[in-house]
Amino acid sequence: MAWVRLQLLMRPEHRTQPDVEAAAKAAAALGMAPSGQGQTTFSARVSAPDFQRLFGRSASEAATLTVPKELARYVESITVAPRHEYF
Amino acid sequence: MKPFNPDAPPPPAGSPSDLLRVAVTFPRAGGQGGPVKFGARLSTASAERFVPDPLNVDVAIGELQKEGFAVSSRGRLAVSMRCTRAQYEKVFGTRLTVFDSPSPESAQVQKFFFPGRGARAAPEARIATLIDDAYIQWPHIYMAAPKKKAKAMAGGVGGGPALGYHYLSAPKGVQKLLNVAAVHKAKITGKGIRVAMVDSGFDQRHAWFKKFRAQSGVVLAPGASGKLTDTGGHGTGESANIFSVAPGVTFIGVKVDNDSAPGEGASILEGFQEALRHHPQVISISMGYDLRAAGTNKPDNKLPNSLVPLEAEIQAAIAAGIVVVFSAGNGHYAFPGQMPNVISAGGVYVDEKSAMQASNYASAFASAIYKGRSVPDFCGLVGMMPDATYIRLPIPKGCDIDRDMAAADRTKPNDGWGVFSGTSAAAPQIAGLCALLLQKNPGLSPQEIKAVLRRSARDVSVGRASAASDPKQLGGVKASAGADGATGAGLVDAAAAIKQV
Repeated sequence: MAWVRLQLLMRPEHRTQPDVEAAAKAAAALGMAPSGQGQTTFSARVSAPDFQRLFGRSASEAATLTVPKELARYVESITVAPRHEYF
Repeated sequence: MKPFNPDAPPPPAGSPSDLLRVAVTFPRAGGQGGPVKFGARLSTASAERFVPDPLNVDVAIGELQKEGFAVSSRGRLAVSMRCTRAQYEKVFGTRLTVFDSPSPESAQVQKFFFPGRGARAAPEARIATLIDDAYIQWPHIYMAAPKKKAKAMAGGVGGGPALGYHYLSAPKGVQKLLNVAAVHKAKITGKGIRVAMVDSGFDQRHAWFKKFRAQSGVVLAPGASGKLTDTGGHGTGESANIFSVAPGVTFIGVKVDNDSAPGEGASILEGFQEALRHHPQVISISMGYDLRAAGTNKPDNKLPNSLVPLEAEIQAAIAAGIVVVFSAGNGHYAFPGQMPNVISAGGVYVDEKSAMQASNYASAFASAIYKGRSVPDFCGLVGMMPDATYIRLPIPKGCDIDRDMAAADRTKPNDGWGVFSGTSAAAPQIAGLCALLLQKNPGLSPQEIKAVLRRSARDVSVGRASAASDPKQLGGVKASAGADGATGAGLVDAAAAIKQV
């Protein structure tokens, strides 16, 4: 299955470990699969159909996505992870 | 225990070292039990709650130092100390006996001291109230010394077969030009310093890696596959730069590639998040993004929203005291290499006559996103156009680089060697150097380390950086006497830097 890699940036006032965990839990309830977390962000993967369902569009790297209301308390922005290069 | 020395003979069987490595843990802040006496395994979620009161740790360390114990490294949850067998037996009221090492063929030592089964333990009362526990560390078995000394390499700078052009071997060629040998002689090898490298993968089964007895492990970032493999070869080869400079580090390789499904591999953010889980003191990343304004040769002046989360995570890591090193790019307007607080590793080429010049393969530019930020800060060793064939590195036989670079670097397509060194090589070289500084002075902040490396670098006044990162289309930023845009402060110098900390 093709997965879309999402990056979720926490709101400044919620950049704490408990809040990151709470947001990841809320994201999981929406069908995202949390894949990693740091101090200010967490990552998640979502299937293409779930992406369409959640954001009403197909995955596009350039897009900044609308934050679902269930995550809006914690999450400032959601973006698709871009592809990197090796130097 | 003696510091890492690849040429040192193994200790004779039956004579365990009298010097013990002891891990000391402490009660939680507030006086509750510490992690050893906690009745369950710590999780990443609970570990924070076991961070002790640093004042109490200082008192405990002071008491143990009075008994002859010495601190070898200090973490947030535990302190590593050294003491003699007699000192341990006195303080902890026990008797130690000789044990055989598990996996003796690959263990660091053959025998070691440990409390015998059922041995009584009656620590001195003043110590018992200050600590949670003190465990003698078993010898590690990672990356054991080979039974036979690695075959000496001949040719090239620092050894290697003749390839018909000037190149460096790792580790010796790299060590020589970065002035590392004197630091290693002073027993500073990065020992005890945790360095995470996020890259394609780390196949350390190559004979080259077996000569390093440093602690080394590979973890998979989300979506990555194959702990032991690296079909690309990039991470395996570039990690040799860290071991060349700092062979004693505790190396944490964070693999981001998925060998069979490239699109499923981890993003840099996921790799960075995974690295943070392992509490590194230094993170080295030889990857990034080219932020070039569409249809132009100019750098972007706005960070794309998709990179804001990575920017935030890196800033938080540096604020927490982690040294973060990124490649400056190979003609790219590289991000995160242009972030102001990261160490941005550029490139200098040193020819067979020891003349230095700016690498025309390496990026140098003024960031349009972070005003006043000039990339790079300083440089490691990087090759020249067109292929940067400069440092011969060990890679998995038949991997992408082995095959794809064979025509350019004149090695064979399935021989397990590649000669490649863009700024991907410079970042781990400099990360290794950061580890040396942290071993000498664990209290250094990321900003202090950057300042020391900048002050101690060797000025490079000749050559131009990559033309591809020059928006003025003048053939690349030109090096000149003193700090300049092409090489920053110049080529890093380990011996000069270590004298300043």
